[in-house]
Amino acid sequence: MTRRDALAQLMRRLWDAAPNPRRTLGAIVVTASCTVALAATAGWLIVRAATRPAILSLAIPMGLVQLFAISRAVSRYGERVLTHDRALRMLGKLRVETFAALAKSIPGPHGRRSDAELQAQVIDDIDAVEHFAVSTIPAIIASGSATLLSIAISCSLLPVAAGILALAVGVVALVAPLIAARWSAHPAAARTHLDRERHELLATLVHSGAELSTSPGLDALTAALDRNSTERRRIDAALARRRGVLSAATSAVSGLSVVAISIIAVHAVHAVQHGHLSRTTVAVIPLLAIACLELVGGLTPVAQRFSSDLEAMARLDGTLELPATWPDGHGRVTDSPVITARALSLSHDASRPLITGCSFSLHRGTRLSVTGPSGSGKSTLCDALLRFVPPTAGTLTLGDAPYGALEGGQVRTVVRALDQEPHCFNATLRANLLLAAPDASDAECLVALERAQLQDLARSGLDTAVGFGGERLSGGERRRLGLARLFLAAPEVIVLDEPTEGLDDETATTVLGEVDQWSGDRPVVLVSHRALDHAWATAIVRFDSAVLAEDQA
Amino acid sequence: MDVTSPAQRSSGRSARPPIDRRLLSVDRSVAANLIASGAVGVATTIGMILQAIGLARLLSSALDVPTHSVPLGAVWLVVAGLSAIAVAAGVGPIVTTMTATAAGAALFRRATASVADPAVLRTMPEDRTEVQVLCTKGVDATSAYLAQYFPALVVATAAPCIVLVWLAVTDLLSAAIVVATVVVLPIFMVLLGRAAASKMDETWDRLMTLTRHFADVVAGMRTLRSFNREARQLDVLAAASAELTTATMATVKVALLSSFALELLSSIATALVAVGLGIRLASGSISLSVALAILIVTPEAYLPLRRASAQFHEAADGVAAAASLLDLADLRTPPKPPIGAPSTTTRPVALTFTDVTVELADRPTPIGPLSFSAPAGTVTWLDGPSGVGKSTVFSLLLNLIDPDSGVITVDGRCLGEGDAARWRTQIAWLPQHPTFPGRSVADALAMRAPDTSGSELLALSDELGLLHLLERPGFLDAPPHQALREVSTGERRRLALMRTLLGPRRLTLLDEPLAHLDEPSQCAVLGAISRRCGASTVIIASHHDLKNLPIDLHVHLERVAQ
Repeated sequence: MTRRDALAQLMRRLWDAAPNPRRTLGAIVVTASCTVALAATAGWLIVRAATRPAILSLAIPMGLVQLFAISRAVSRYGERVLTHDRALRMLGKLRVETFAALAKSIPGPHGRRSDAELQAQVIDDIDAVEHFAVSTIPAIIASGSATLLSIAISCSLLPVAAGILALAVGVVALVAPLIAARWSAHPAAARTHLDRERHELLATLVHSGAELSTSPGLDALTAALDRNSTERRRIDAALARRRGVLSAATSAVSGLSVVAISIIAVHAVHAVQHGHLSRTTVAVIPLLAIACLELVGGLTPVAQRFSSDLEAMARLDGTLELPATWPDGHGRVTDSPVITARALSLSHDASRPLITGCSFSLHRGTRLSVTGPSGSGKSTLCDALLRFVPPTAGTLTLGDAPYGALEGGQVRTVVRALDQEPHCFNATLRANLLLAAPDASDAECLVALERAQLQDLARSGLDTAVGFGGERLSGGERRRLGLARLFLAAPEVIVLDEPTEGLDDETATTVLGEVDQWSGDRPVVLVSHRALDHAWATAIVRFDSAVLAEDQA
Repeated sequence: MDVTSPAQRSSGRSARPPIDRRLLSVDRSVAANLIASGAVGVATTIGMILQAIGLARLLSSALDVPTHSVPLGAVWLVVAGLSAIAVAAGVGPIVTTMTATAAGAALFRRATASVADPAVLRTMPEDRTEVQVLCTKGVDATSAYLAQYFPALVVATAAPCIVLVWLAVTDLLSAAIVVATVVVLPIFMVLLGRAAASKMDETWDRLMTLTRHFADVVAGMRTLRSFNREARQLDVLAAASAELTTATMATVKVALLSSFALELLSSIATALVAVGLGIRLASGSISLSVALAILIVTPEAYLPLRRASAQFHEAADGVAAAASLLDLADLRTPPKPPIGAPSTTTRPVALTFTDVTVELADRPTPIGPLSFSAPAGTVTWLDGPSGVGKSTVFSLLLNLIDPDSGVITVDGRCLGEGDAARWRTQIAWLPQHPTFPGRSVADALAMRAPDTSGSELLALSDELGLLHLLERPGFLDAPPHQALREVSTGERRRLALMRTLLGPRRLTLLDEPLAHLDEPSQCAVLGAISRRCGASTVIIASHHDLKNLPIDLHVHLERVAQ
């Protein structure tokens, strides 16, 4: 996505983010106009007062000055509130849409991203877009309106001065920001790269710090972080130097143009013929120029971040356009949960098939055992059964409908699995269980825990926090929690991926016994290495090095 | 599950002062840079005064009928003023950035030094996402706060004084009005600042919570989708996002209200001065050039204060993050001096546990008292029901946690006394959930032994049945998180074991080396262990039977009866 597209998308999003976009636009224009009007009126007032008119004739101008001052304050408040509100709402929507996009593509080849990448997107990129929406766009609109009004007023008084003002604004508002943007494009890109690297290094430190400490890698990592920090400092200093130079230049240009305008205005007062300026308006154009150039001077600092902010938007848009791993169909599930696989082929990528020609049938009373060497694709089969990952060849049907035509959510109300490494969310035990069955009562949760041989956890209460990623539980406890979820969910077709791993033999046998009893005649798919687990199988699928071997009934 | 409310978290922070003085001592150059920034601000004020005087004289010369020429003195005055302003404008960003980067780098170094200590990291109760955000966004926000707010404060004190001095010299009445009004502003600023500080904390906490929640649900996306709960999470996220927007808007509104109030106050004050000037101008008791100059300069008495207030509010994130960041930086434990000369020995260690008990906050049952003795070069099998604390024993040995009572000795010396970091480099550890840090898979595998040759890697992988993986084109050079996507759990664990079996190992700790493996793989693993760990003291925590691996000691952990 190009930067121009990203800009167009961003503007469209901002426009649609909150109701009444014209009100926000109006507020920005009014604020800028009040600033300009205030400067013009104040300049006119003070010189008029010096011509010693009747005091009462100053009352209206004084009132006008106060009116513009208060209007400016009020409309500036309104404009900032409206701008911030709009930008924040847009960001909220972006976050939700990013989540939805990720939801479609995880699990799958595109969706998996490292923790650092996700952080960088959700924090850095959203911050950049916020800065663009809150600072850059209003600055551009305000500068535009202030310039137009100032030049209009100046033109009506003294066209030559208006010309100088236009020239100065051109330099300060167009030339300087363009130079700033061009000058900072390369360092800003380098800085974004360094920011990304910083996230990755920190993520590694935080997740793997303990393991790295057993190797020279930890010192190397801290050294890399130091280098990153130093390099960022260097780039920031370079950017600051460029900013300083441009700042000084624009300040000098603004100052010199005000001097030029003042001299011309004074001459114009003394001129008798063409280009005559009335005495009382001598201060109007210079003060207008000061106010306008001050406003417009705010464009150069934001110009430095222009391209990096737009690229952040482009990256966010890229995430939003992630393709779904297996797009949903619209079919609904019929009543008979019979799953049939014919000549199924699965692989991670086209060049290396994991399974080819796999066929089986799951109906009432089936106990399918899936074995095979590690890495042969057993978990990928579970992914396919849950309609996460499409097979590369062959058919998979539920009832009479092929999986491809069904909606994923529908399939997953019928088929549910115990993952090899079930994820535990950073919440209480209860929340982790209610995931599977939102309407389950506490009593039902406790029964499920007992069934899964987690009596100790049940005793410590459903409000126990399980920690981030379930770190307060051991590996075996996490797996049994996944099993408890399955007990609560009570699906029609049950898939178990290594349910007894991490358990001693006694507990494992008890657990399998519970599963056997609970599942009744519902079809069960059991993936396991343990020979004992296959004692109850009615059919065995054995994966042997990329080619499926047998299907014994 | 819902996003947890941040209410409980903010309560602990209400006691701290709104401006953390620790910030100023973050780096040596910060103080010097602050003074330089202050000087730049003062130079801008003086330049502006000069410019105003010159401009006023220039413009009022239009009303002087006798002379038709432009007063050159006034023009030079304006040029002098605008030069000072231009130079200050040029130098200002540079000094500000230097302060920001110096402070940022120092904070980052200290914070990451804390995080780089695994024992410290382990004590952080909340999950790691917050630490990452603090060290990136938090550092940036805090250094921006430091670099922009504190100089603005300095200028806000100095500039009005300079303006007042000039006003007093020029026109006492205006000076009196400005003095009377300018003292009101700081009172407003302080009051509004206090009101804002707690809101800023709340907004930062909400942002942290939202980010953590987002990371959690994305990590568990597969589980969510398996139970068709992703739509609900979408709603939860939308609601949390809306709450964050509301909280941020509340902070923004306080900030904007304070600048609105300050702007109104300064307009009123300027209007008062203008009225006074206007009346005296009309009666002829003051000249136009003086009046014009005063009118241009008067708002500049208030502008620095308004700017300081605006900087405080703009740096909302930095204000909120600063305290957490400084607390994190203070967690760093100074490294203990190594006892005696650094040993380069590679002999296996002898371990003794004597009545060791540990009670961890996040585990329901305490562990211990545990006593056993593993002589050098022996193999110990640590056994026990799931959740009993086998991994905790490893944490004790890695010196990630200290025992509550009892003593662990290594080669006769107490474990807690030596330099933990050096001790850890002598341990080969296979954790229950290995990660693979490194730029490429080859780097990750050779983590403990960077000099491992390619053929050694292949040989070891062959022993463990992983040759087909390593021989895949591009596998060794691919970044780990990408390459390992297509690797099964069992293969992953064997790759981690490969890493553990390379490199120096006076002590080898293996946490469930046989998990997720089928029979032939288990035999291969046990074979590799027995062949390669002869010169090391080995402790294996395993549910699975260790078959024909020669075991010298079998320690069975029992759950402590409640």
